[in-house]
Amino acid sequence: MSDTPLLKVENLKTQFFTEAGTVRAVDGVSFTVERGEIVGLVGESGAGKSVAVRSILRLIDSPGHIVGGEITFDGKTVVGFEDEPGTDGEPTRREEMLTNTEMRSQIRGSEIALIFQDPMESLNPVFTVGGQLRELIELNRGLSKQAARDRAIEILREVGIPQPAERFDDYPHQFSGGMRQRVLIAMALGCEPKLIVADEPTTALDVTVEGQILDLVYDLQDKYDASFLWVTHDMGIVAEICDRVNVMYLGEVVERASVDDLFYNPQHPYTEALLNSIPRPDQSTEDLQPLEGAMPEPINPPSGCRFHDRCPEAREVCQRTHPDLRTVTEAGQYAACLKHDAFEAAYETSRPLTDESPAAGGDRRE
Amino acid sequence: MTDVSSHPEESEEDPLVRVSGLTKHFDNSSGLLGSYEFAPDGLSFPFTHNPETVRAVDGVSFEIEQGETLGLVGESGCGKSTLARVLLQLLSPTDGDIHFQGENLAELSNEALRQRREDIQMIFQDPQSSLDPRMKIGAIIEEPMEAHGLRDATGREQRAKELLESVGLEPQYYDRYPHEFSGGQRQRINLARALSVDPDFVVLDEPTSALDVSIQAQILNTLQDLQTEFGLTYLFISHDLSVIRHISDRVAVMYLGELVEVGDVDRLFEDPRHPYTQALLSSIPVPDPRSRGERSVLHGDVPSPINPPSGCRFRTRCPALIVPAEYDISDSEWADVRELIRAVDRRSFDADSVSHIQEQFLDGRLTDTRCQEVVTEAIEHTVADEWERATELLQTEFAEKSVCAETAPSLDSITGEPTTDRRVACHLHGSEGEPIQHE
Repeated sequence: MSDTPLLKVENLKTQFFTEAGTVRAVDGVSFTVERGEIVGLVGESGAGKSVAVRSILRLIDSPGHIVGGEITFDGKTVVGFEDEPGTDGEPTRREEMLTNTEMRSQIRGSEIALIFQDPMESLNPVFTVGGQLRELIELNRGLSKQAARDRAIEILREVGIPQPAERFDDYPHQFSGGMRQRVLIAMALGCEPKLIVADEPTTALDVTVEGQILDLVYDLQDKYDASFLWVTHDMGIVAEICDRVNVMYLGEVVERASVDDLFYNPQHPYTEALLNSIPRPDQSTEDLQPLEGAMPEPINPPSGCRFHDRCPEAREVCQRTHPDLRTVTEAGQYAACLKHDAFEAAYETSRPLTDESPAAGGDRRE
Repeated sequence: MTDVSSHPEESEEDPLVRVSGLTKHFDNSSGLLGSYEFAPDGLSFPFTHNPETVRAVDGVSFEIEQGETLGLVGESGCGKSTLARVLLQLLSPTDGDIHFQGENLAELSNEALRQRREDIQMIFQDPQSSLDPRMKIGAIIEEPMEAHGLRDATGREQRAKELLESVGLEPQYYDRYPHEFSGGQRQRINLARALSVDPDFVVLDEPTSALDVSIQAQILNTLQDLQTEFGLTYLFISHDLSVIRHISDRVAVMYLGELVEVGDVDRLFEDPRHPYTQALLSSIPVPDPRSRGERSVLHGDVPSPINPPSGCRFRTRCPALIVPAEYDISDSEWADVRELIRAVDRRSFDADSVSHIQEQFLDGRLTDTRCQEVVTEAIEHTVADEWERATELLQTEFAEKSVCAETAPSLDSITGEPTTDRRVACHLHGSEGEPIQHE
C-alpha cells in the first residue's frame, strides 16, 4: 500500500455543449478516495454527482466532454491535460493519459466497477444472468469457461442469491429488483476491483431490501477490502455507511467532512439546510425547514457563490466573490462559504441579503 | 397538522371514511383461453382450467376521521396503490364497502359516483405524467370545476389564481404550460387542481417520492398548511417511513394485501407491536452517524400475492415465528432451527457431512428428540444432494405446524393497551399471547 490516495480527482471540469449553451455540469470538483474507505458524494438531482462519477470512468458521451482537471487512479492517469491548449483551442491530452482501449482493458470492470441505480437497465434481458456474469469473469480474469462458471456461482452465493446454481441460468426478468441489484454487485465484485463506484444503487429498492444491500456492502468491504465511492441523495444512507462525505451543489463540492462532523457540525449553509429538511424516522420532527426555491440550472449559474440566491445566511459579498473549497476548522473540515474567516472576504461587514431571497417555488423555468 | 379538536362538532359523528372488508382480486390470465394450461402427459385431456388470481387487497378495514391524516405505509407490491384506487372507485372492488360521509361508494351508480368525486380527490406520484402537456395551467386547474359545473368562467379563473397562490405559486403562471415547471412546482399544480372543487378528502399516493429532499420538505409543509386552511382529510400513501411519521396522525401498515398494524403515529413508531412493523422500522438507515449499525434486517423477499402463504402472510419472513405447539424446544434452539431451514431453502452452504452441518447450525443436540430426528433426516437429505426433499421435510415438520401457518390472525386491539385504537394482526398479541421482546 502506498501513501497516495487510490483515486484522486483534481479540479475536474465536465461540460455539455448544447444548442442552448454550455452546461457546466461538473465545474472544478476535487476529492479523493483512500484505500478501504467508503466516500459519499451527496447532493440533490442536478448537482452533477452522476456526471462526476461517469467522468472518472470516462463514460461521458457527446455532447459532453471532460474539458479540464486531472484524475489519477492507482498511479495511472485517467484524465490529464497539457497546461497549454492545442492550436485549435481544445485541451491536449497528456502522453500518459490512458487511451480508450486501455480504459476498457485495464480500468473499467477490472479495476473500477460501477453499479447503477436501475439494475434492469444494466443487465441484458436476452442473456442469462449467470452467462453475463461468467463472460465478465472470463474476459477480465482470464479464467477458463468452467472455472469462470464456478467462480460466478460462488459470487452469486456470496451476495445472497438463493439457490445460485439453479438460478444461474435464469434471465434478469425472473429476478426481483433486490436480487437484480445483488447480481450487479456480484458483477462488480467478479473481477475484484480496487474501487466500486455505486451510483444510487439502493434508490429503487424498498427499505427492507435496501437494508439487506447495505449489510452486504459492509460484509464485502471487509472481505475484499474494496473502496467505495457512494453517490446518493439519502442522508440516512450517508450516515449509515460513509466514512467521509463530499456535498455537491450545482457542479461544485461545497463541503467535505468526516461523516460525524458533517451531521453534528456542518460548516456550509447548504449542508445545514439539507439536514434540516429531512423528516426523521427515529423521532417526531416538529417543523421541516426546507430550503426555498429550487437548484438553478448549471447552464447559467448565479454569480459569486452559486448558493447565494437560496442561502439564508447570504450577504452582499456572496453575490460578487466565488468561494473555493478551503479548510475551515481545526479538524480539517472543508467548506466553500465566505462566512468563514479563512476566506477573509469581509463577510461580517457585508450587508445581509435575506430580504431578496425569492419566494418558495420562485419564478424559475425548467 | 390539523387536530381533530378544531372540529369538535364533527368528531362526535361517524368517521369521514369507513372501509370494511375491502378486497380487490385481479384475474391474472388474459384473453379467452388465458386461464387454460396446456400440459400434455399422454394420458388425460391435456388442458386444465387454472385461473390465477392476484390477491392485491384482501379484507382491509379501517376508518379515517374528519380532519386527520392517515398514513398508509408498506413495501412496493403490498397493495397500497390498489387500495387507493379501489377506495376512489377508479377500480371496482371485488368485495367490501366504502362508506364516505355515510354513503356506500361501492353501491353508487356511475353518475352518482361522478358527482360524489367532487368531494374526493387524488394526487399521484408522478407529477410529470399527471398533467396534460398541451393544456395551460389555468385550464388544468379549472377542468374539475368545469366538470362539476362550479362557477362561471370568470369565477373559475379567479379561483384558479387564488389556488395558485395558496399552493405557493404565482398567479401569473395561469397562462403557462406544464413543461415550464420543475417537479416540485408541478406537484403544486396537481394540488391546486385537486383543491379546485373544494374536496373534503384527498388521497395522496406517494406525492413526494419523485422529489428531492428540500423540495419534498416544501411540499410537505404546504400540505399541512392547506389541511389547516381548508379542513382537509388526507390518506397519505408512502413507502418512506420518515415522511409518514412526519405527516400522519395515525398510521396503517400494510403487508401483502392486508393491514398488519394500525395505530397512533407516535405510539406505533415508539412501540411497534407487529414483527413486520418492527422490522420495517429497524431497517431504515437513520440520518445520524452515531446510531450506526443499529439496524436489523429482514431476510428474503415479499412472497407473490398470487399464492400468499397460509395463515399469517408474514410468517415466511417473520423473525418471531411461533414454535409449533407439539415441540418442546427453547427459543435459542428454535432460532437455530429456523436459521437451518432458511439456509437449506436457499442452499447457501456446502453440504459435506451430517455432523459438520449439525455443528455449523446447532449448538449441540436438540432437547426435543422428535425435532432432532427431523433435523438429522433433513441434513442427510442435503448431504445426499436432495435439497428439495430436505426443504419439503423442514417446511412440513416445522414451518407448517406453527399456529402462524394454521390460522390467519385478525386485526384486533391489543390486550392491556389503554385504547382500542391500536390494532395488530399477530398471534403474539392475541387474547392469550404475550407481547414479544423488542430486538
